[in-house]
Amino acid sequence: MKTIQRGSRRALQVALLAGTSLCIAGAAYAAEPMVKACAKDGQFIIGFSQANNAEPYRQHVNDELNAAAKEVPGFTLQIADGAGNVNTQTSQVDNFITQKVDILLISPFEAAPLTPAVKRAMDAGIPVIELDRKTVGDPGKDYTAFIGGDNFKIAEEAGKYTAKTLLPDGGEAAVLQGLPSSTPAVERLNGFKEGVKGNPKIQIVAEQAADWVPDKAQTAFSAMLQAHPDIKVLYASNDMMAAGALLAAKGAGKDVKIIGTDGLPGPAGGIEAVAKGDWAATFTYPTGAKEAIEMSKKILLDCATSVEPTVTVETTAITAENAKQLMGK
Amino acid sequence: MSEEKVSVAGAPAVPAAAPKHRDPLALIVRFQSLIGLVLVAIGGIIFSPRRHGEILFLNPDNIANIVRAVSETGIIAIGMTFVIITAGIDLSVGAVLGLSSVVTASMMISGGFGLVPTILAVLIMGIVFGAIQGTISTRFRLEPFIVTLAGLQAARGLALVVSGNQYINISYGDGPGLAPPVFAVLGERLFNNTVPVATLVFIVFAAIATIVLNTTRFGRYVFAVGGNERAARISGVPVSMVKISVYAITGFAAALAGIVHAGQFNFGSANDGMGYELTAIAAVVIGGTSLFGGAGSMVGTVAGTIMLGALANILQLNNITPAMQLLATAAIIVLAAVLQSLVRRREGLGR
Amino acid sequence: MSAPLLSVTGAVKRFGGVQALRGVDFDLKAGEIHALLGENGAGKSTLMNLLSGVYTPDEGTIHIDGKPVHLNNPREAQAAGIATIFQELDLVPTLDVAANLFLGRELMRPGGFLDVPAMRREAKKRLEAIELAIDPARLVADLSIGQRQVVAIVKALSYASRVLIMDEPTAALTVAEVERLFDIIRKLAASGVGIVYISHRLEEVPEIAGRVTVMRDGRVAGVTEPHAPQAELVRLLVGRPLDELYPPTRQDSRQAAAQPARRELPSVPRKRRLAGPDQRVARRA
Ligand SMILES: Nc1ncnc2c1ncn2[C@@H]1O[C@H](COP(=O)(O)OP(=O)(O)OP(=O)(O)O)[C@@H](O)[C@H]1O
Ligand SMILES: [Mg+2]
Repeated sequence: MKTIQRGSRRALQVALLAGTSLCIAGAAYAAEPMVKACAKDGQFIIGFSQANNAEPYRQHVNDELNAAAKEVPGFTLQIADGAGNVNTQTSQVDNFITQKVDILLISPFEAAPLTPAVKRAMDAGIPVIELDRKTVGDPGKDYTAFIGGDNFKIAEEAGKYTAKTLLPDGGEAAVLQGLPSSTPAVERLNGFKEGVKGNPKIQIVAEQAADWVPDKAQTAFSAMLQAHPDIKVLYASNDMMAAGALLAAKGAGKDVKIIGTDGLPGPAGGIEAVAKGDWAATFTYPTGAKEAIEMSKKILLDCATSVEPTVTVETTAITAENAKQLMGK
Repeated sequence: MSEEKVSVAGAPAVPAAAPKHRDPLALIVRFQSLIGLVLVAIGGIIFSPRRHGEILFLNPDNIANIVRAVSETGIIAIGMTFVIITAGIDLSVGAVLGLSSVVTASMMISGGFGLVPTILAVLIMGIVFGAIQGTISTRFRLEPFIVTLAGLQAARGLALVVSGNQYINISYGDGPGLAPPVFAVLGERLFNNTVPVATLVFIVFAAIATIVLNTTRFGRYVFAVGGNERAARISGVPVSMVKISVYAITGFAAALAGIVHAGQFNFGSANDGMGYELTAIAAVVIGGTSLFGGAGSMVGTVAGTIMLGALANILQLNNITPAMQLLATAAIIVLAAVLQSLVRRREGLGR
Repeated sequence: MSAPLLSVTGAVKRFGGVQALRGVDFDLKAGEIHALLGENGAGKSTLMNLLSGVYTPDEGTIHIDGKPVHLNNPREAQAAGIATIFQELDLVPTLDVAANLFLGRELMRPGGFLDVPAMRREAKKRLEAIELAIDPARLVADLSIGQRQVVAIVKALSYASRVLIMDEPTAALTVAEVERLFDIIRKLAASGVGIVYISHRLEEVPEIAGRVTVMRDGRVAGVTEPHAPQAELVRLLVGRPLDELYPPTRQDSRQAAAQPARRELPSVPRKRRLAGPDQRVARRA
């Protein structure tokens, strides 16, 4: 029994190996472009399925994508707003498939729920570039590529910054979480906790959800300061909540070092808040918009036969040192 | 007064050969959602982008997409129709959907329960949740608006507790931590890849609901309670039971939609179904069911649901901004409500 | 006739501080049309609500065929043969006539489904029995007030055939509709149904009633003949003779009449004018 089993498994492995190498060989041999209709001067429609336009960060992504797409004469960018609803977003992806867009860009609201829709697009021969958030599976196989930051890493950076620079001698810290049980909220929370572990003298004394929005953040942080007047550092999982927390700290007359996330531009964004000295830091969450349009150009205009499956756009720590300089950008 | 013959004495008068003689406006309202659906469909065909002469709007994949996308809110709207006919409202349905998707996912993934026990437990949970809301509302004479608003909060809270503030992915296979693969069928299409299973669930549920509403004693009581509660009570209709039952039905519908949601998206999250209650109420109102209670139809609700989906679809196919979608929906809701109130005034029912 | 069909003795009913009935005796014979008169707030509706099981008396007993009974809810009253047509019509406007007639007593087909054709057929029969042809498939909302009144009567009679209590049935009817209603009432009485007829309109009384009970301030002020002089009725109604109400000069008669009565019954709601000095009364008097 055992031997037969082992034997058959080995046979399977051999067959698989052979198959894989054949495939690789075949791909290298034919060197087919990823999109057959590719052409230097062609007209192409790029569909972008956005998770939720209502968030300022996502508006920022849309703006950057629009700006980048405008630079390319043959590109028309269509943005569909998933409105924070996996059902709506799924149907919008299906609509893009019906329209036969030339490339699908997507920031899935949640990973697993959008996975089948992405698969349908791939099956329909539409390259899928995932921005900022991934679906389930591997880039280069289940979808064409992933471009984005790493929520966990960015939050971990913020945690390390807290451990080393803000509270080297330890003290109390607090966290404002995004919408509970949404992927980025979970990843950013876990990342920050991992980051501060390097300094055992730091205690996270409070951790509340403020659903990404400033008003809830203000309320939640006011309550935290009531209960724990010695909080020295607040980590907010996005800039909006950091802005709300600042109001709470001012209201309580406390000098709390606030860390935001996203590094949004503009007067309400984190870069300016750091430049003004209101916050200690914010960690940019790069949109990857330019990179996505670049990749689309490679596929559609340059007839690329393959692209980099994962492009991780690095976060930048915005602190008092570099904020003023970045503000103009 | 003029048209029926009344013979004060002598032979019984023959009833006028039943000319239903309804106000034409009332007729329009009665079929408004069907009319609206046809109009949207015609608009869809006219304004649809074409590719090689093919009308994309009518592409079978596109139709399947439309009816799949509306199936969850459709299931909820079916339940909501019962409640609104009794002149009630249920704001908790979206949250109960979220709770149900979370419970479905966690029972199968961390609880190791099989398909049938999971589905049964979730459906029963929905029924119980709804019945509790109905009982509180009737027992303490509270506005259903308030009770189900509290229910909304409670369901979201419970969902967060059950999920431990995490989302739960559903992976399939045999063994611990995996869901039975057959559950994934909810995300697929049957009959040569044409009919989404989620849509089938919606249609079957709608058909059963139509029969219950129109041909059973319970359905008749639902109309009576909404049309004139006092008359219903004096006629011996168990008014409180009927009210509790309709909330149990919305709870069931929301749980069913939650199961469909979990199956379609392989996922359970406390945030699922946010705002669905409002879409469902919109579909019901567009479907010609009166928010004043006493009148309404399931066919109308189904048509209203599909109409909203078709509208969103055609707007997106033409790359029209989501803002326009919201404005168009708003206009349709207002139009439907205005038509309703015009008819009420003509019938002298205005409150 | 031995015991009356329906009687109540010593009925007392309080609503918090308000004493709506202060010991009322009332009886109804089979085949009789018994008018119940009284000003606003005199207690007429309360008395009838006791008889139709809506309220239970705080003191006093209800008898049917001389036997004491307890009517705890409208269904028990109906089971005892007492049906009530309330001031507000208890019909569901959004349902059709047949559905209203059978509400709570639907005819069913095997399998738990409504037997709509059978109910329509039966409804038509019942409507024709009182010689009125209304299409049973019409919505009640589409009927005139008079037609709704008739549907309400047919409905009431369909489950309780001995006593019919009508609380101001003519309040919203046209003259023609009132005539038709009276015909129906007379026919029902002729067939042995006892009818209590509550009204504000004095002039209707001699036309329809066989006996009159006048209530005032939660008590029975008197029981008289319907053809008693109007002056006598008004005296019973407001508690003082007519000539005191109508000053000899006849100037400002309405105001003069209204004011003493109002002074006498300060708790009276002012939703309607007083019955006594009503123009219609004056016209007839
Ligand atoms: N449910 C109740 N709660 C409190 N008070 C009541 C209630 N029902 C009646 N009353 C009071 O009891 C008194 C008698 O009322 P009732 O309705 O019996 O008068 P009525 O003779 O029918 O008057 P109307 O001619 O206005 O119908 C009134 O003072 C009324 O305000
Ligand atoms: Mg009364």
